[in-house]
Amino acid sequence: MTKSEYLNSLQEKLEKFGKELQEEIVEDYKQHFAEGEKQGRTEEEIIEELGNVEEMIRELSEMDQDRDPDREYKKIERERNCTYIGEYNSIELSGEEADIVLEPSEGNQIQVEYENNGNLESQLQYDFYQYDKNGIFFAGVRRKYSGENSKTKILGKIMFTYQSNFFRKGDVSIQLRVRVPKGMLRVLAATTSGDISACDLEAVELQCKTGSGDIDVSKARLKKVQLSSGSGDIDVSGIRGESASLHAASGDIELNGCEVVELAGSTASGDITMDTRVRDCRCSTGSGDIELRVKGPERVNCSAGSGDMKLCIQGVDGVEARISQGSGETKIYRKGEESREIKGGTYIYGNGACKVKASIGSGDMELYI
Amino acid sequence: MNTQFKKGALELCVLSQLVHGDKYGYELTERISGEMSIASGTLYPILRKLKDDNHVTTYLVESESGPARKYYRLTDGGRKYQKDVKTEWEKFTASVNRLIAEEPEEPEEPEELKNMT
Repeated sequence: MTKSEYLNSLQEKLEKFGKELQEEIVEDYKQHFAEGEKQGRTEEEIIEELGNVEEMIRELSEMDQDRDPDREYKKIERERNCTYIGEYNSIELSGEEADIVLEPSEGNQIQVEYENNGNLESQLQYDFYQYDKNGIFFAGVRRKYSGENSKTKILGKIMFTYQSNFFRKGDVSIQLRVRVPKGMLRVLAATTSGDISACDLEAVELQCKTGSGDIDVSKARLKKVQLSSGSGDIDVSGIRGESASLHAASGDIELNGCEVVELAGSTASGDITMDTRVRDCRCSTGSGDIELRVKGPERVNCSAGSGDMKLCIQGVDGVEARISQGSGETKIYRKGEESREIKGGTYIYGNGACKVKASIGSGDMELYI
Repeated sequence: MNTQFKKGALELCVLSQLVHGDKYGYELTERISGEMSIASGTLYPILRKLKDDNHVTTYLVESESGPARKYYRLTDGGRKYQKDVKTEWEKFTASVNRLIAEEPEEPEEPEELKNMT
């Protein structure tokens, strides 16, 4: 065997241990060759001295097994824990399948913790990235390999061919935890199937998008909030801001204890539940139900296709209600009065200051004013 | 040789080689493979493990010819670890030595045999 044959076989056999280790050991061997040659030894002699590659591989495998499981786990799992200080005005995070957790930062640094606790496949497929451009801090998770038919060799044999449909979603467990300093102009978090949660943030604008994950935003001071999810739910509580727009395709929307000037919620098939102080409120759902308890609104605009609607308007001097309905029935409830059924049309109570427009298809409506 | 046993022993040898000064890989493996018949290659995983466990650190030194040499140096933790393992080893080998050096007790010759002679 020649030196290059020997090194090639070494390289190949080390593949299963990961690139870093592979490179290191191959480098050690190359150096060994160089030193041996300097001493006037032949390639043959050096190969003989280094010994059977298999034996070394066995040694390496045993060492891997010897490590206590916890430690080993931490070694394999891809972890990143970084603090960034810079003149950033915005943050853009992309999580792919990862969950994104946004928390307030104590100072003015952005802190990122990346943890990939998924199985080997997920660890092989996803990678952390970070860069910045024009004052925007970009970080997130990206797929490491692209191409339709990338095959990944593990333990010398092809363990999986990766195409997205081969991928077992349940095994991905990646988390991106980002501590966000106060006063960012814009914080954007997007994932395809991960959950997004934000707590205690203070920023001008927050935008969260997820395909199938849930979004949970709580206790935040934001001028503008835009949340959208495909099949996941949106849950918002304790935020103060100027405008909030929440859109879900099939998920539910729930909003509690907020103070927002303009609020818009829409979902195709989910339910909308809101209990909040708001000036302008617009809600619509296709087939879900709407339950709204709003304090001090000037305008409320609600529509439901086939679901039921329950509207409760509080803290206003009067209501002008324009009701349109399909096949369901509408009942109106007023303090000190008996409930009564009404038809579509415009009804004015008190000074009519709060304009309510409610339309419903086949469900029933209850109006509390 | 029993692999567990050998692994521990080799690790101690490697650590001990570094007690009196830093060494580069080839120097270290030459010294050890000069004393016992082992494949030098198997020492590299041991060095790597010692580094992972923070018992040694490495640094590169440019050499006049050929690639830079990777030197290994014991850390403070590694120094203490070497001492502990060495003590353990000495106790262990002392016991082994006592046990293997024990003379078998003279078996008493059975009566019949005596009569026969």
